Amino acid sequence: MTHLHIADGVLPVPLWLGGLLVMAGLVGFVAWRHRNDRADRLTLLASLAALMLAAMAVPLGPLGHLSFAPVVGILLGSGLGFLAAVVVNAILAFLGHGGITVLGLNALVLGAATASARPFHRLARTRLEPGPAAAVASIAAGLVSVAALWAVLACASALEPAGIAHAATDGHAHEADALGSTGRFLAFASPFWLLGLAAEAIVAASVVGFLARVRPELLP
Amino acid sequence: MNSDVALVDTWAASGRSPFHRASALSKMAFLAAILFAVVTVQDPVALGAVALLLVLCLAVARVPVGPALLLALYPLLFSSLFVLSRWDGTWQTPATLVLRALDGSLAAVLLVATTPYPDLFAPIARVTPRLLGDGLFLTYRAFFGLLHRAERTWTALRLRGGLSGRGLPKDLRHAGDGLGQLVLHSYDRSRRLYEVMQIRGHSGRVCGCRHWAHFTAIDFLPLALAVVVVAGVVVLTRNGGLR
Amino acid sequence: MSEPRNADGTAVYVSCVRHVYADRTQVHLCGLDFVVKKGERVAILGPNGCGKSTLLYHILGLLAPHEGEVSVFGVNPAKGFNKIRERVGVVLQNVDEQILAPTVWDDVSFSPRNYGYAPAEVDRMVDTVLEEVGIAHLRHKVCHGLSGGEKRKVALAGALVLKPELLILDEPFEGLDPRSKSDLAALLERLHAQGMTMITATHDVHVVSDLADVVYVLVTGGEIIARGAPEEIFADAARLKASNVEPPQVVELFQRLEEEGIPLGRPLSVEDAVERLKAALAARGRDSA
Repeated sequence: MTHLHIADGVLPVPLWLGGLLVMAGLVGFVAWRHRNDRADRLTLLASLAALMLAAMAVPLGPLGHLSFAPVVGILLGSGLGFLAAVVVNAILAFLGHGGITVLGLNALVLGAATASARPFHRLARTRLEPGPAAAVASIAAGLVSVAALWAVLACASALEPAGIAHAATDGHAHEADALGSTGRFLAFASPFWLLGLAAEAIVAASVVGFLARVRPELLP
Repeated sequence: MNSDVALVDTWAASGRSPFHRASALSKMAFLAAILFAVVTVQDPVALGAVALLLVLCLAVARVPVGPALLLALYPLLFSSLFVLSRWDGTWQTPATLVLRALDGSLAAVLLVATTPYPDLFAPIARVTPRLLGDGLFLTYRAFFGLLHRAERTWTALRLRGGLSGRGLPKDLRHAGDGLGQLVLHSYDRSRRLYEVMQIRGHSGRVCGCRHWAHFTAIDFLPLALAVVVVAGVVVLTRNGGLR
Repeated sequence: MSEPRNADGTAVYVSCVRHVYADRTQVHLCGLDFVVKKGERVAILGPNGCGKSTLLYHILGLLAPHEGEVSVFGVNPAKGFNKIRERVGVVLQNVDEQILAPTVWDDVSFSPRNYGYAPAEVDRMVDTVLEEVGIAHLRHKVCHGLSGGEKRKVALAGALVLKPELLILDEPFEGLDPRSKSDLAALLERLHAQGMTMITATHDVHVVSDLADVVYVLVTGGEIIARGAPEEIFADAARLKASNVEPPQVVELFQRLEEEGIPLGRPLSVEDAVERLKAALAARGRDSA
């Protein structure tokens, strides 16, 4: 539920270009931090990123699909969790499921969820068992991701307050009310996000609870 | 989406069209030209022409146009919310947004449908950290192993009443258990796959299968198309059809 | 029995290895030392879960022992497998874990491409091995659409493309029909005639006599309890049963006949059994006459 799915050519150039640069910087930093990791961390990243792709095929009716992002973040940690978000978005972009130019922004929005999930989980674990803690972390991480998405849209409005200006047949530019359009977009999407957050939380609790019983060494 | 990936992989691996035989780098140049047009061109007619060009390229590449179009239209389902929220009452605005999305998606689909994934990831692995290059390759490869396993898991859940549809929270918990099994299965398989890659000679740089950077006469096709698209954008600049 | 691990002519040496898995399962590959001489064909027999794959993964350097010693061509594989990996080919039990590339050609050429062979040389090597394994017609096929048996042949071709000195096979006949089994057995026989060393892990006792000069028997927990030629190993039915390994039916049949007072020897194959029966009947005919 925390995937932009906004295609190429919709957002202002400085915004998506900035997103790509920020993403590249973070990827470089994470790669440097994890340069001495054992190979099994890489394979865990790949397997969880593959699962994110597979989970996106789990239909939730009108809610869209799962993203599995909070679970991935809990298992991988902030750095590798962000990298998993980059990998998933890159593959989705190549498959036409989301724009290539917006890859950076998509990665930042989804990565906000994967990167924040483990810190939230650690906090929740001081009072809760792994499964319920994962649910709490999932909701918190999802809200962080929604906030990131809102920030992207707000930046889009700020950078292009005139909306899409074009020459109509009468020769005058027609302008969209950008702030109003952002609010309308959020209004349309909010109910879906809230229900999606709930769905992700239930799944996260279930998966992490399962792993806690079967393979606890995979959990932080 | 699962079947989309398998379909695209089959198209890429088994084709022999000029686009399949062109190098990955020249096709990426064509994709870059299309994206340049997508982010700069305002005129929906021009964007429509680009879409037609891409459909023609798919036909030349002998990629099934119908399924490829469906794949390319997928993001529009979610972008429709955004399009509606930006609507200013004219037809040009939604047409422009929709065609931009379509052109970008079609160009991406053309690339992946004519380029086996090792050749797609090999150039990316040359300019990105090893974690990302290997991660892309392993993830894509792991996804295939997971496809069948995930389908069998969902079938088993349905047959045993785990996805009865009688309560979404309960079904989601069962889906979570199934996903937990998949986590373990996927992790063990990925680990073994990476070990085998290293046994078989992988040394940290994804090795493309064929000729991702080897230019031949056939590369003239995507490169010429890229030049045509960029030239078209330049012409439109002079005629005021840009943002 | 123990052999110096670096002795000339020793390809693989494993001595009393102990490994503990993440779920605390322990495997002790102790008892007899596991020694494979160059040019030898060795089969590892044992029930499911006895440690056959664990032994193979230690030889491949995929697992490092908590105790004990492993040496392949004089190198500790857990630390230095890169030094010997071009000399070792492997076919895993689950071939889906081994197939890495989109098409058959792509996958079989994976190793030579990664080792930097020239494109023309890669083409030649791949064509040669595809013909050898009998899957040249599958060259351009997409791997994930192949049958299990075809995938196993692709994996084998990928393992053989660099003409390794040591070939390691984990349940190579799994999923193969009888015709494919005999084709594979014939191919392995040809490779052995060219001097290739082979280690095969299997619980299919019927192929052992065709595949191996030496058989090691493992029991649950990993202990290596027996080493010898196939006819020696199958002669001791009691020990085989204790390790939960059924002898080939033809061996069991002739053992039962021997217990019934009809000693006709211990053939390992149907052909050998037929010859013995014909000889016995002919002798009986002469006696009657």
